[in-house]
Amino acid sequence: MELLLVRHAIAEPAAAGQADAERPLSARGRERFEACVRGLSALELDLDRVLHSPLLRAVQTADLLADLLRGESVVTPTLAAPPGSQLLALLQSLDEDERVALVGHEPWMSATCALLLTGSRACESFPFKKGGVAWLEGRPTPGGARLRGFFPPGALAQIGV
Amino acid sequence: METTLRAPSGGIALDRWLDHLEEHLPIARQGDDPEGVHQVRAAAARLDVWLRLGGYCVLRPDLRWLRKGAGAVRDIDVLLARGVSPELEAMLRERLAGARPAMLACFSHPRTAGLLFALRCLPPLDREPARRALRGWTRRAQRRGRRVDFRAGALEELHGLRRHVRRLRFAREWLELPARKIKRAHDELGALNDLAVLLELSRACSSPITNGDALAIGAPAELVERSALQRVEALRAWSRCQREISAGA
Repeated sequence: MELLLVRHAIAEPAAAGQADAERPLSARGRERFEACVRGLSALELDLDRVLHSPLLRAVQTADLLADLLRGESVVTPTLAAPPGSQLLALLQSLDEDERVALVGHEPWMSATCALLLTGSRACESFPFKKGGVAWLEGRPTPGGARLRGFFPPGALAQIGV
Repeated sequence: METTLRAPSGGIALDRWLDHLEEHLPIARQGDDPEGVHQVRAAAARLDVWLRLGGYCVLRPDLRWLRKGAGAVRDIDVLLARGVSPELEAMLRERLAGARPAMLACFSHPRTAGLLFALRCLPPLDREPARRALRGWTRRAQRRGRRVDFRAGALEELHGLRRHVRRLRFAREWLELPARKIKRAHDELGALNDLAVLLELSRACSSPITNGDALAIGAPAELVERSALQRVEALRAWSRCQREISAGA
């Protein structure tokens, strides 16, 4: 299985009275992430599935990945929480030949990356920028994956030019 | 995770049908009133059209999954409500008992909770892009309608047209445009589809035919005749809604 761990793109700050979950992507965040998607496309990283958090900024980021998506998107609250057994069970229920993007939030994307690569949730070594992507391959178990690439959004945008 | 109530704006908010969905999920879970399942599916279909009007690709598969999760129970509820022979009813009740746990598992799944939360976070749609989408759908539905042979065409063709009509109807409802005659066409095409399902089931349930005990709803020959009449009704309703379809799109 290949996993693309994606941190949501840049979002607007919360307006007065607006819940954090309702913060939309900013125009700049949308534009920059579209450039990231072009980079992923240039790398031929099309997707069999996109799992995403239900928070608006993750929903909108996942929607921008639609051009790369051959299969379906799935909303899951497990990506709006620290990585745990539910997320691993969800990933383990998928076909092992799939390439799956997970769109979520910090610090949980870093923790997920660390968990899958090292078996530990210590995440200081994997700081995701907004719109950043980690490309993993292997089994979705603690320590079961290896890192194939770690792309800050600027690098992906350059690849996509 | 918390959401706030948004101030009203000129956009198209989905709250009404999202509220409707959330109100009817417990009724569907309880299982005493078939209307609960029907309303869950009706709300999910409208929310799907809302997402399409907004150009969203995500969340639509989740809504489709939810509708499908309740689909088998709804199909059986529809047939039972029509009144069928004791043999067919026994078969349907057995199927219903098998379908309900799968539906309940779907409703209790974290995916459903995530879907409801995500929908609640979505901002209202801008009207102009939604109207543009409707114009495109209108042209496509009209083209489709011209190709369909109501009297002799395959049921799949009519079922395809029904999907187009349903989308138009719900889109116009979201945009607060007249949709009364389109609703009628949708209903008539739906009734034709229900008859097709019943006919298929009647053929599968051989005992009422072999033992000569006619189905309360009608033996297959009668159902075939009723389907033919229903095709005429569907054609009539489709013809009558043409002016409404073209207006305001």
